[in-house]
Order: sequence, then C-alpha cells, then structure tokens
Amino acid sequence: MSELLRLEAVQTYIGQFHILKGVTFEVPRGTVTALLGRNGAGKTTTLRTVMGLLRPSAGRIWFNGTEIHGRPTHVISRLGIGYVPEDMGIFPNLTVAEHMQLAMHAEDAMTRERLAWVLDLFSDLKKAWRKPGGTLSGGQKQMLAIARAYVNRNALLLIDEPSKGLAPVMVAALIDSLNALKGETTVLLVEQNVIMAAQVASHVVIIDDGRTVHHGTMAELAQDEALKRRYLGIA
Amino acid sequence: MDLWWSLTINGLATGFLIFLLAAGLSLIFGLMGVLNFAHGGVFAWGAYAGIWAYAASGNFAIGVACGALAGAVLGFILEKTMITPVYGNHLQQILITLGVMIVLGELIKTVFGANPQGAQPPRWLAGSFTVGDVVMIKYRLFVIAAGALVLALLYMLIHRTKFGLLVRAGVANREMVEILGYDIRNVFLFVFVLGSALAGLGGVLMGPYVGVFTPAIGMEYQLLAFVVVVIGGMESILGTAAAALLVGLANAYVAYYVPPLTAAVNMLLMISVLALRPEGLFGVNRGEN
Repeated sequence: MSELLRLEAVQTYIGQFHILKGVTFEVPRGTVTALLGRNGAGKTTTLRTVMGLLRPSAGRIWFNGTEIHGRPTHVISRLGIGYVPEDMGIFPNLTVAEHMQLAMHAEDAMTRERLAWVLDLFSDLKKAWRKPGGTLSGGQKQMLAIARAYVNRNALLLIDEPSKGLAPVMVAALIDSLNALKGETTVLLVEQNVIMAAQVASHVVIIDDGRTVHHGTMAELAQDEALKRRYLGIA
Repeated sequence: MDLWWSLTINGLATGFLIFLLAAGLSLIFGLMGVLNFAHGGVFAWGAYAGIWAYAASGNFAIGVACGALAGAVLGFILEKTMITPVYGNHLQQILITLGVMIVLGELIKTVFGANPQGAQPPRWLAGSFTVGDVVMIKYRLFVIAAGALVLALLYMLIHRTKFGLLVRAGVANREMVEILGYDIRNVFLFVFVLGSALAGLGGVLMGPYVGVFTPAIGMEYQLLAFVVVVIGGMESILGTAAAALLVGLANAYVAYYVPPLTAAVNMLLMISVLALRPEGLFGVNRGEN
C-alpha cells in the first residue's frame, strides 16, 4: 500500500448545496501533493470532509488502510492527521504558549524537541510567546497555525492555503519547512499560488466543480499547457 | 458605620450565593451557548436534597455534600437526555429547559411537599459575635468564605489547568478544539455537571441563609443569576463574580437607604452596565473572530 490517504467517489453536501460530486484521488506516502483548482472548486470542502468536519453523503475515505469517513473529528485527528484550516483557527483569548500547549498531544522529549524545532523555524512565535492570539499579525497567526500542526509527529498534514497573507521571506521559510518534513510526513496542500505549489509538491490533484479532473505528477502538469489553461486559468 | 458594615456583609453573602448559581450559568452559556433555564430548578433541588440530608444525618457537611451531589447528578442526567439533542438551537433550549424547570419544581412538591421548608445553620455557625460595634453573623461570614474559596478554585481550574485551557479554547472556537484532537462533548458534559454541582451547592447554602424557602426559590434566584451573567459578561468567571457581588451589595444598600427602588435596582444596574459596555463588565468582544 503506497498511498497514505485515499478518497473514492466522495460526495459532500453543505446544507442543500452539492459541493463535492465525485472526488477520487490518492496521496502517496512521503510526498507533498498539491490540491489545485479554481475558487469554489471544492478544495477546502475536500479537506474538511477528510477531517470529519463535514460528513460525506457517499463515497469512502481511507487513511493508512483504515476507513475514516463518518468518524468524529477528534478521533481522525488522533489517528495522526494535522489540519491547518484556511481561517487558521487561532483562539484570540489564548497566548501563543497556550496554543502550543493545547496542540501538543504528548509532553515527551520528542514532542519537546519538535517544539524547539518549530520555534526555530518560526522564531517570531518565540518573541510573541506570551501574547494573546488575537493581537498577532496575520503572518504570525499563519505561522502559529502551521506550528500547531507541525508539533505533533503527524503522519499526514492537511494545509489550506498556507502562503496566503505571508510575506515572501516567510513563504520561503514555509517551503523550506515543507521540504524538511518530506519523507517522514505526508502533506496534502491546498494552494492558489501554483508557483509556490510547484516548489514543494511532487504530485498534483486538480478538482473542478466538485470532481477530480486530473491527478499525476507535478512534472507532467508543468508540461501540459492545455491542462493548466483549462482548469487553473494559467498558461 | 457599623450599619454600613452589616449591610456590606449582608450584600457580600447574598452576592456569593448568587455567584454560585450564576457561575454555572455563565460557564454553560459561554462554552456551550446553551440557555439553561433549568438551572434554578437544580439550585432548588440542591437546597431541598441538601437540607434533607443535613436534617437526616445531623451533619451540616454531609448536607452540603449532598446538595452539590444532587446538582451534579441532575446535571449529568439533564445534559445526556435533554441538552444534547438541542445544542445549537436557542429556541428549543429555552422551551425544553423551561419545561424541565417546571417539572423539577413539581417533583420537589411531590417528594418534599409544597409547604415552606425551614433550615437553620449548624450550631457552630449559629449566632454572632461583635467586632467593635459591628455585629458579625457567623453564617454570613461562612457563606462569604465558602463563596470566595469556590471562586478561587474555579479560577485556578479555568486559568491554571489543561482542562481550563480546553474550556477557554472551546469558548472561542469549538471546531478547532476538535481538530486538535479533543472530544469537545466530554468538555461540555464536565462543564455542565460542574455548573450544576455549583448550583446545588448554592442551593444548600442558601437554605440556612434565608431560613425558610419554597420550591419557588429556584425561579426567584435564577432571574437574579441571569441578570448577573449579563452584567458580568458571558464566559468570564471574574466578571460573573464581580457582577454577583455588585448585585448583592446594591440590593443590600438600596433596600435600606432607598426602599422604594428595591424592586428596580437589578434592572437599573443591568441597563446602566449594558449602556456603557454592551459586552458586560469583563466580557470579550467577539468581533475579531
């Protein structure tokens, strides 16, 4: 079994709206896979469905060989899936230190080591350690949201638009951190910034109007001008 | 001056009793967004069950423990059977918890009878002593001390423990707490049981304080507790405590110095606080998230 995450014909409604109409793809173990598509294609809904925040009306989802669709979010999280939502989910009333304390699933030496590594990566967080989340800048909030997902040894990270609102130097640090995680952690990355995605992702899934329309390697996509024009509006 | 001291001690004791009732209400509303009109019924059950156990055992401590326990057990049953199905729906919450409030009141009449119930402080807390010219009523001082202790413990729980961290995070963003791998329903249940236990404790301590009470005690003090929660700002324990003491003191002073205003004082307080700070004394402005 080379894939860590597999979705098969997943359909999801939000209220009465049929958002995912058939999403099928695999995320190979140890890779960074970019989930691309236009605004409103269903990228965020796909991540939320995997995370159990939305219940699929049809289809199946496997993580590490276990079926996870329909299971509660906290159970899916504890299986080893970290999620950085698009709105970052920062608690305005909790300090940076408290965010990290809450995020850490264990307080063993390994987790503390990871905490030190994450704080080196995003050193701004160390400076803002005692500040409440509500007072952080947009970039700091994004760093905190990512740090929270990095601190546990998760097998899979779902990251929704991490480069949004980050200064170019931080995007570079983010790319470095994703590259550093390669091998041990598998990443499914939703990204509008195709250029950034191309720097970290080896695999690509494109969804359009709630359906998977392409999956393959980043190298193939780079050469397929027609595909890029048709589904991503770039060439 | 000694009169002022008496009124102040009176006001503080009443304030802390209201705090015990309002603390649970504030936690339950702040964390779970549940408007719990059954809370006063739990308070009344705490009073009846606690005073009954006190009379039966002759031991005040056992009575106090039973009052809190009755609250906790009722809270557990209520959360599991009545509240879980109506999370997220305020109208249904109001209807179902008001219904529960009425049923709890009627059940008290069935079990304990409808006649007024009397309660006396235990011998070691009966009577008074004087400091200078000020008469200190022991039981009132005891209520103040017990209320202050609960406030301190609750503050430590919310601000110094990982569980408190979960509660504070859950108040701000429940979904993110789930994403981080915690079962928010367990946090809800614990908070509901804790809040109900505090209401039960408030009820049993209220018994000897008022001397005589009826099943209507629940509704009577619940209204005060709602006023306190609104004044203090939802979801802040310190805010609830400050507001409860403010209401207790204002009632004590106004009842003596401006008797005609007694009935209006709570509403006037609420209106003035809300006019100046719509989010309450210690409330969090939720605008940013």
